[in-house]
Amino acid sequence: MKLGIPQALSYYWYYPMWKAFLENLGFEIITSGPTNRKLVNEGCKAAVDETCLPVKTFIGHSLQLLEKADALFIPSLKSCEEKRYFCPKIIALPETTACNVKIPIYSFVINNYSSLKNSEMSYKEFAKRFGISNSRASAAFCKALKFQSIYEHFLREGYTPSQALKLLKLEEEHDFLDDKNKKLHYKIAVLGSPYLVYDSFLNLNIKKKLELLDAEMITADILTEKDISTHTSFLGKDLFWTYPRRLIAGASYFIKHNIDGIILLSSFGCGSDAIMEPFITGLCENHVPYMVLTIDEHTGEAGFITRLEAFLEMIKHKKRSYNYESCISLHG
Amino acid sequence: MKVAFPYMGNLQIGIQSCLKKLGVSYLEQKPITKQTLELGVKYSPEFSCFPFKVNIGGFIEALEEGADTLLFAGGFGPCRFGYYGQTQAEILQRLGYKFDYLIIEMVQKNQKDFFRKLSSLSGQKNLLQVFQAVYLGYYKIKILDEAQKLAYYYRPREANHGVTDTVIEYIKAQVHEANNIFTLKQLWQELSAFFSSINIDSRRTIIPVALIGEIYTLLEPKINLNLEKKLGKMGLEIHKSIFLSDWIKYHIFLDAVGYDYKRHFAKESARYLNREIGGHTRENLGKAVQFIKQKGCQGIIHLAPLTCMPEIVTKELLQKISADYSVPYISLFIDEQTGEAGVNTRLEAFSDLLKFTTSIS
Repeated sequence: MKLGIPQALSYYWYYPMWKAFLENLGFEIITSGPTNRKLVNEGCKAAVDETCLPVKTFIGHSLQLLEKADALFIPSLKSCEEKRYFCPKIIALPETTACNVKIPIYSFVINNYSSLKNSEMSYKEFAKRFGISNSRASAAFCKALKFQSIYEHFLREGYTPSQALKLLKLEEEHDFLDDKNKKLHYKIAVLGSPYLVYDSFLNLNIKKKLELLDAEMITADILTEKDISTHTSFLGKDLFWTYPRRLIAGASYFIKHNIDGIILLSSFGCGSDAIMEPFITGLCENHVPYMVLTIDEHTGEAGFITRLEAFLEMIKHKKRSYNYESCISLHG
Repeated sequence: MKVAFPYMGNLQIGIQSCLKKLGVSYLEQKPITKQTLELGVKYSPEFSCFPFKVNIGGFIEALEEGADTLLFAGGFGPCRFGYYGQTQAEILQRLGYKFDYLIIEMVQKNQKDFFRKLSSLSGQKNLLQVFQAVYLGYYKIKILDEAQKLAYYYRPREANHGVTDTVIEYIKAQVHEANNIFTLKQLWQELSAFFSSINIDSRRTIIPVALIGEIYTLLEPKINLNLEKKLGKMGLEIHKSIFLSDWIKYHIFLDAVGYDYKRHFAKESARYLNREIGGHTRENLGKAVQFIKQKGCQGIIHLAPLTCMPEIVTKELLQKISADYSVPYISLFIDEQTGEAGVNTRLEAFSDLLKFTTSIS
């Protein structure tokens, strides 16, 4: 049986785990491929107007799988670590997708809010629905966890998800390692949810554009859990979302670690980004050049490039003038 | 010390009487004006929801007028409201205001925190006195909600337009002035008598509709552009999903004894959404189905602020309810750009549609 996994939203967190788990249970997995214009348009047409671009894109991806797959695999991501949630739109994804895509959806709830052990139970219960024995499900789950931890390790090393998947041999081999060795002069932290930061169509290939401007893109995914908790300790109250918390930690971490600029990449109408924006602004003020880039389905490439160029120009100017000043001759 | 708190429908009257009873001095807040909205929009993140912006505006105005303690509620997600208090504090502090911030965490079984914080506010009052004060505030809101329910019945039926509104205003003034439970109890008994004096035009066709949505936009008439009055004038009888007094009853009083209020709508909403996703999504979906089944509602009006995450999900799932029961729905997302004329046109079109469908069936 062919199970489709839309290549959007939760894909960037859990694809290796889900693929390993489901393949070990005997399913065949297909994905919807990279995002493209046609797919985004279809998603925008199907989804409600008020929702954000990533969700519309997710619906677009699901529509692509309509004919290729027998069913979609869309678990409901409620919480992936203790005391933290995902955004309501992500929690309700199976239901909202079912409204727009007429195909069977296999789903279960991943909820680690009270204990990390909860999700293991849900995975096993899911396997049980297909008459798979508990021991086989356990083995599949262990294997899946292994894949997931290697994947997360690669992300912390600074690889993008697609590079990490290639290293994990979950996608075709490709020689990308060359461009990792390229020496770039500036370091820019791009803070945003992974489904925006790593979807090179939605973010208009910000990584490549920065590289052309002689800047390297760094994301908050390189932070370890320990980094995150130390760098969010200044918050008066523990933030109850996984990702916004990581981004605030990212901003706080990078300003102390020699970064040239911080870009907050956000989608139009993103609720959780709005809540943490004042904190990131507060952290960057008087420390690091900082810019917010908001993306929606109408974002024009030219405007995007202009803003990136202006941002980089400012950073270069800042560095240059700093160097001049230190070279002023003593006799005037 | 001067306490300021958010402006939300009848909450104002409840909190004021509670603080008065506790002997805490508070700021007589002005209602929401255009200036409030402008201030809020200017200093809030662009995509924070409309209630957030209104509240920032309100707090800035209050701080300018001399308030030094802000009262707000919090929670632990997944709805954004849980972190609003902290984000607002960050924004206001960066603007240079100095204030004490009292955030009451509204989570299950946390009533102690609620009563303790109020008690610390009042200085030397003990928990029993605090409870009495809270109960008085709750009672006032309860009566006003009951009056509101009666108004939903009378407004579309009244022979002379505007009479119901006069009655409501009168009751509001009476409730505001009352300062003990006995006067309020008496008022409650007379409630239906006030309304029964209204002349009814019995020839009109009245269409029942369900009004669901996000709590702030439902409760604050300044924000929803007096939606309830508008609907009443169009001959629509409202069945609303959320009342402030119910919220207080279930989340503060009954939650303490372990009562699960979700049982009221869990069954009906299960077909569409079987778990909590934050906000009022599940409640709204369940209540919409209940109103259609039990009250014979022939239309659903959904109200939410722009970028509200749970209500976006509600809108998506409403399509299913609408198709299952063949009941039309209209979804209004409100923000600072919303124009009254546009809302009026859409509502008129919707009520015409309802009248047309009832006339042919």
